[in-house]
Amino acid sequence: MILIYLIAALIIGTIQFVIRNRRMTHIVATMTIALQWMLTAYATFNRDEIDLTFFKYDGLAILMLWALTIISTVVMLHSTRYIETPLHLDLNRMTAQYYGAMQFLIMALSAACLSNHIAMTWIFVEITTLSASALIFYRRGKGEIEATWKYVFACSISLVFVYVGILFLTIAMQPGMQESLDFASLEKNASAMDQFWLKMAMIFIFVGYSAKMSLVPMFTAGIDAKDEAPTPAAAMLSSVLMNTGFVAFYRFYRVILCSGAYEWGRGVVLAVALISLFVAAVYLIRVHNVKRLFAYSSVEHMAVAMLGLAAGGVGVVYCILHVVIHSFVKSSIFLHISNLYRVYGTKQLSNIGRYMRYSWTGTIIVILATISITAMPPSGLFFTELMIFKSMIDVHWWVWMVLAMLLLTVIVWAISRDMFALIFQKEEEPAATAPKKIHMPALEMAGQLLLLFIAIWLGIHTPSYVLDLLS
Amino acid sequence: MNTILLIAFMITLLYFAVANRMMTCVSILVMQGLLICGVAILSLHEMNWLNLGVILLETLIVKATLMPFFIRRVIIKNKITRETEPSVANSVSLAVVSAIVVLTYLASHFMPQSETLNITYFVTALSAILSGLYFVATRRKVITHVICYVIVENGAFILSLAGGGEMPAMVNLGVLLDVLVSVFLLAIFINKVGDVTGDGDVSGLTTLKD
Repeated sequence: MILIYLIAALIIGTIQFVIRNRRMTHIVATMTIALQWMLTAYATFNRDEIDLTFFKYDGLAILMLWALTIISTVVMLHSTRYIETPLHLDLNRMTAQYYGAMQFLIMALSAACLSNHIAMTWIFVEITTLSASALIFYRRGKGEIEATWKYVFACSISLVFVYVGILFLTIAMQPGMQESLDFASLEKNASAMDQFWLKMAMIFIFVGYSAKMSLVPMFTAGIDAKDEAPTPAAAMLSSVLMNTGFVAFYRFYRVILCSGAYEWGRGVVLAVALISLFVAAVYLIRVHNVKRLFAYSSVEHMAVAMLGLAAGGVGVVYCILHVVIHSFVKSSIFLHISNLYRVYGTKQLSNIGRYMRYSWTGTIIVILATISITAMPPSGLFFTELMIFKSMIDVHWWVWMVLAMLLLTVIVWAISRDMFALIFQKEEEPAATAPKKIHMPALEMAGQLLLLFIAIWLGIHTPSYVLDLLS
Repeated sequence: MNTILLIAFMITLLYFAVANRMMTCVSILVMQGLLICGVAILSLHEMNWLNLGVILLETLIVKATLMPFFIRRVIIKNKITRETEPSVANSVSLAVVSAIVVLTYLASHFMPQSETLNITYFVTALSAILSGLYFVATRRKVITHVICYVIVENGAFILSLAGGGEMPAMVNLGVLLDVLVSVFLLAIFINKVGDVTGDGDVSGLTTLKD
């Protein structure tokens, strides 16, 4: 199935780039979604099957595939309206490039999640850089060029880091083991690997994938990219792309778990998580742009997930669930930002306010999204954070837990301050254009609410099937 | 012979530290591409001829020809001649790169020895990676950043050769890395950045702030 999927995705992507008829482009875009649902259905019904040697439909891959498919469906629906916004440029060509890049991004994300081979994962994660940069570059302004350049450059450096990490991993392996770089073999041989080179491999691979996961030290490129990318694309970058980076790292981290470097590895993950939380807290206090606000919030949530991963035990399960739920909430928020932009014509927090006056339905979504992203009950993230902190108590990380909670308190205050100012307070200074009332299309509203509802539902009543996949 | 080529590669790093003219930097890239090709021939002679042929073609065509050619074209198009206002004096850069090489050499003797790792390759590769990252941090022009990135990538490629022909898949991945990055940095983007920043000074790309 994966071979058919990859060929079909390549054909659809190429067609999208070639055709210059917007109506046809939208029709072909529906094929992208249909293909994605077919792959997800196939993976669901063929669990643990190995496909084309390098791909496996395991629980983690299926879970991430479901998140990707649902989010990309809603994103494509939003893209239809977003793309029609006049930009005084060659709209037919830009539409074609947008949908083509989106198809390649979805394909690379799916394949990276399904890959059970460390080199194959690396290849597909890096293909996401190429397609994501085409999406960031969509409007071709100076800001977009700067963001794309920084993103491409940082991701290229990270690409080399991961490659060097994989090379160190092969050095860590005993002679004769080196032909098998699939994750199952790596886990099996982990205890026999040279610990020094394994640790070196982890440092390089972690630093490399931190660009995709939005963690310290390579998080900056992702922030600019999410700020300048079209909002539907930013929704993908801040949700499913981060999920894929997480999957790529997590699969390697399991090798560390099986080796003698476990205690050292979890120490590194804990340190990165706490530093990332600190960085997110500092930037969230002083941020002036609504897209960057939520981009830094992604740093925070990935850091919280890393705390669970480092703590181990039940924390690992809730770390994965946290990443999945966060992707639903964050994509919904980014999709709604396009509505905010339609009202105010700006992303600057000082120029936006009294949102209730302009969009009642939008206000409801912003309130729900704020509750969800700040992990207040009934947000699904509240339950996952609770369990992650419980896992930290289980390993007696009291000091780190208190420190993380203090930083999270600052973050919750910073986000709530800006969001409640957006809804209720008068703008600090008027924007260049006067705000206007808008009618939010029912389909868009339904899509955003659906994502938020899934995020709440997964936390309050995690379906047994999802728990089974997580196990 | 391999050791001589690798030492020559390390000398190119020192030369890059004091190079001011952009065309000199491009010439260094060509030289590095040729040296890597030589190292690959000597290291991978036991590999099957088809695989070896692809690797040699890649080092000769992509590393020693295409990348320098595109970079040169961008330099001429944007009329960039010198790396202006280096944030660190060349003498300091030379000292730093020398220190990197010495420290990497010393560190390699404290690392556990591995049957699959040749220390000379390792020292050269790590020196190139660290020096490349140092150059990225201390140079201002976008085009110099691309050149520095290619140096980092050359270091990674040498590291893949460290195990000889034992891991052809990893060497092939290095080839793929080259091709992917060529598309990322050169074919798609570098022209656009040059168009926006005029002289290609990266200090112009600082509008995105919090």
